[in-house]
Amino acid sequence: MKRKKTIAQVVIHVILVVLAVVCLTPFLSMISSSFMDIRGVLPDTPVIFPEVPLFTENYVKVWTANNFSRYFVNTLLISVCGLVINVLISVTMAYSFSRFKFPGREILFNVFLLTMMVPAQLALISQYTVLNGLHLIDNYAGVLLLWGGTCVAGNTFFYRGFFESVPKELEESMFLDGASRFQVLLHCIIPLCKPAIATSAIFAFNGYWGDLFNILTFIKTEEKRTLSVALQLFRGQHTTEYGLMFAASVIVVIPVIVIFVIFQKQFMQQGLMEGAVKG
Amino acid sequence: MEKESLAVRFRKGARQWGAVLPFLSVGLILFITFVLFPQIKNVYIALTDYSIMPGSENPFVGLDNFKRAFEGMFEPGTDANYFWIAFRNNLLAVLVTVPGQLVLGLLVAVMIHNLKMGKNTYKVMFYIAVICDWVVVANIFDYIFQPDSGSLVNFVLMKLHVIQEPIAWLKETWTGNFVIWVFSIWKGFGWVMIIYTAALQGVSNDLYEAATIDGANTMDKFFHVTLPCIKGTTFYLLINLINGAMNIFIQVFLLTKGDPVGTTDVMMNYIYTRAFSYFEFGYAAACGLMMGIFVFTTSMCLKRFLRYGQDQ
Repeated sequence: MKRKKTIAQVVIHVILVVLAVVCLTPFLSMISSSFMDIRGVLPDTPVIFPEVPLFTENYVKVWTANNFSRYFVNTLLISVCGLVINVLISVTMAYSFSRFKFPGREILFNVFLLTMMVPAQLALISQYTVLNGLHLIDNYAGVLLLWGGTCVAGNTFFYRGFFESVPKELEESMFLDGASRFQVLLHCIIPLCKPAIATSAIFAFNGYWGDLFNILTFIKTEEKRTLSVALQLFRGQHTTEYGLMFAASVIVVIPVIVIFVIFQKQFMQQGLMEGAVKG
Repeated sequence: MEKESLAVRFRKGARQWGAVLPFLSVGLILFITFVLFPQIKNVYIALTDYSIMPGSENPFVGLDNFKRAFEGMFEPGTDANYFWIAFRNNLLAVLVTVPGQLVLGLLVAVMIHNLKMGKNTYKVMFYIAVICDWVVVANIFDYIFQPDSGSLVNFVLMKLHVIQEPIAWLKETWTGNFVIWVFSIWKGFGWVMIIYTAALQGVSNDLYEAATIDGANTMDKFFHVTLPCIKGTTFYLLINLINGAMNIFIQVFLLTKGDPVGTTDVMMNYIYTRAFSYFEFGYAAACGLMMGIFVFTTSMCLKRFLRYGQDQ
């Protein structure tokens, strides 16, 4: 019996390793190619491991001559701002819905749910006309406000359940001590719901970092581009310069991987979101 | 209980709104400006020949924009024909990528769940594709599916004697669609896996023990214990994945752009191109509206239908 179990374990490991190799080889190929001088035609055999000595000039070229250092800073700036706005709006909205009674609350909440059912990208056309009317095309403020607006429905929905699960008695005792609503939110609700907030915040950051269509549609000036957009346009201009293109790709993806490794636990807590949605 | 007069109720409501407004106002204004108003304005744009030039007139054209999506839908080369090809591709994407992600994600999740060690390592490895930027992974896919015999996929398939000649994957209709499907499954199944592993942890061990005593083998246990216990999660995933496959966009935008001649196109890409390359905002909004109504109705029906099944 015990031996049978060991064999089963080994079989599972073998299957998973094979699958992981299939899934990860493309990434390895990307990293290796970024350290090689590939342009024009592809080599006769696919690149899996890089040739030594490594060819690092691609990175230097992309970072300096192709302005990726600038795009990197842009992306970092706009993603961090977006993240802060996202958390502030989501927390206050969810607090309003979980701790206040006001006429029309459930109607409003249902309107939120309704808008979540309609594909978000469909609104791109009329969002463009709105931003155009506000003279916020080609302006980071426009994108940030838009991100703030589009996160409201989903995040209110997601946070509300967590906020409601905080016992009311805790708050009441704080009110007795003379705390204001803001203080309660800041010192009681937020600390208790930190795991949920962290999870959603990381996904928001990841989404903003890789956002393609909003930036592509609403930002026009070259100096204001972010990494995703720059990479997409770069690809159009340097179709066959694979080494260069993959150096750029690696630069785009490294921060994402680093954040992923650091915040693994939060990333893996997607089940958490599911619990909230089901309720 | 005495019924409060309208004035009292109004005053009470106003006071409640006054209390909540400091918390609610910013988010609500942004939501109305950038989500609710645009959705409503979409309907207006769809009924006009819309131009984004300031001060230009937007003549009201009634349902003309909608008619355009139907006129000559069976004649090759018309706008309507491309519209319906794109719609067909969306339906095919639902039929292929949804079961693909669901089955692969579940199998991997079950395997990982039954491991004694290394659970987290595998989870991380299968999740990397999910978190990576679309543009980056699209670059990789473009690279490994190049038409040369030295591209990764052609090379491996030729070595295994599956194909004799290198295939120009992204240049043909069905191979192009196939790559888009593989891409969607490859990028998406890790998310399904993560949600399933969380659900599997919730299945009580007692049930498995009881099944063992009743003489159930591994397969019996999977079909009669595991699957029924994670039914709720499967419904949740199903609705999300179908929505995702109807909104498939970035894969096509980055890999084939709908080529050859629109035969790998999907709705979202079609709408986006119509709006921001041809500036046919009215027509694009009309297509978008039809698409939105279709997706909305489908998920509503699905929810009702599945909830019904759950109660049985």
